[in-house]
Amino acid sequence: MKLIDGFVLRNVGGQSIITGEGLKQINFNKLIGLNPVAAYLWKEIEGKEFTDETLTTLLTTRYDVDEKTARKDSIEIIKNWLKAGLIEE
Amino acid sequence: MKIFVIPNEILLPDVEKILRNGMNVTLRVKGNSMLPFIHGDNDSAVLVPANCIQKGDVVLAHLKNNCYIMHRIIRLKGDNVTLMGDGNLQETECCHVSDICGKVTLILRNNKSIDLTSLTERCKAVIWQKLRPIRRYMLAIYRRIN
Repeated sequence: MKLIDGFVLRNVGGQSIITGEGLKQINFNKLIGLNPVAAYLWKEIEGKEFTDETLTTLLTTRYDVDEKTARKDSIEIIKNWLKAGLIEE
Repeated sequence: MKIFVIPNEILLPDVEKILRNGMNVTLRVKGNSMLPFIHGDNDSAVLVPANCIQKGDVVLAHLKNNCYIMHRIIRLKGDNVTLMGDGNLQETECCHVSDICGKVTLILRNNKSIDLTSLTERCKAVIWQKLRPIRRYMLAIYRRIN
């Protein structure tokens, strides 16, 4: 899996947001906000192929969380990002 | 779906940066200073980089007191720009051409889009300017109707 080209993580007013910039324009009415954990994962996988295993490892490395919870959360994040059209298989 | 309301002083510097990098920006407009052409809190404006501006354009300007305003150019002499909100009665703002970050091309309202650069809209704006002496009454009636 990887991030779809054209989506950029920006910091606007202290909030991490994803803007679709493929068409040389940013629509502030259609933004996707990421919480700090999701923003950290996004930054780590930018430009790379990843799997739920990749995200699980990133979570367990940085946060005090057990692998089972981390894997469950990773699968949930991937599901959300696929639904939002941010990533592709 | 959550709505983020980001204060002007935080959002608009980023908007200016994006416009000056050559990208377009769409954002929800607030305030009533551009009635009747732009309805704050309902309309969204599509802004493009301000590469060539003329009298009558609605522009986003970064003023010397660090405020941002989105008003219409009523006078353009050399590099000096005079702006006025369509919904304002007397107040005008002055700035330099380099303070203009972007130009409004489209207004999005209830799934319709209004092209402010079209001849029709420009004519309406000219007529509205001519009606300045009775603008106060026109706006009062307009507010009553809406």
